[in-house]
Amino acid sequence: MVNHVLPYSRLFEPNVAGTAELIRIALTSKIKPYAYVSTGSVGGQIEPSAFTEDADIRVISPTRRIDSGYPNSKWAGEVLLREANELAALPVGGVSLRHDPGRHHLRGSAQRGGQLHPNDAFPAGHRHRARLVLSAGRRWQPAARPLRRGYQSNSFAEAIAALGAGWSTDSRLTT
Amino acid sequence: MVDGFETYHVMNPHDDGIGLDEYVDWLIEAGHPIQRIDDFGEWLQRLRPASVPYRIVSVGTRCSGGCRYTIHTPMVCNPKSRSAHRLGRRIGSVLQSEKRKSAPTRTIQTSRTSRRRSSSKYVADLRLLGLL
Repeated sequence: MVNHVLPYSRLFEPNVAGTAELIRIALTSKIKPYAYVSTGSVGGQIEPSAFTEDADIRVISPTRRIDSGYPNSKWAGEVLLREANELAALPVGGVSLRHDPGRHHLRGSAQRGGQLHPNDAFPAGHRHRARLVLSAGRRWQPAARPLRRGYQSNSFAEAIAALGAGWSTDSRLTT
Repeated sequence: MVDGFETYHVMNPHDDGIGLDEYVDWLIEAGHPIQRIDDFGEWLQRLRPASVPYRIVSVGTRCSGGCRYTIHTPMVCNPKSRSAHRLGRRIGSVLQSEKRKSAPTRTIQTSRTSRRRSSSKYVADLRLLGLL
């Protein structure tokens, strides 16, 4: 559940208990690989240079400040998966939408009409921009402004599907 | 999964220099009646209905409770934030290999033209959904 307003207590059940339940399913009878989509906002409490693809989240972020609920709930899911991987050899593939301070945005489908979520950051922002009457002048110093380096969501949906297909045929899973 | 746990950072390593200012430019060029006011103070004066509670905040600070609207001061960001493309190499290589399979949808949106196209597509989609 993606919601940057709700507190951790409200996101605990869908994002943390929900992940735990899916881990239980993944470990029941035949072990099934777990593909987890996380968020770059997990990195909000982590030194950027430590926030790498190889890092163990339990090492680079062992404790959390209680501020925003969503990043912490996704962090907790990552911790659970690390534990499940270590304790029960659950194969885990994590795809993290890791935005940087320059605010990368995942954009909607390029092909089909009307496929957008009106509450997502970019469509919602664009809706308001299109209704603007007065716009402030250029707000960014050209050499130093944050960029909007969007990826189209199709690319990532396909990448996740391709990665997931590889995970499910991994030899580890058949043993 | 060789070691049973793999993480991919999803990022676009391509720096095409486009920010929100360009999106406003494109909307203006597409005929939206948007008036730009270069002076921040003047813009604020004209924007502000007296009855609306708002607070001006600096970028990077969060407004905690109590204020319904925030207006960001003109921004200067840390150029270091642009170096984030050091991350996300794995997903980049996956996307590149996917791209080599030459399926038309497997492209990374990189050009100014495609960005501009996505801006008008958002407007068209929002209209289609009755949101504009």
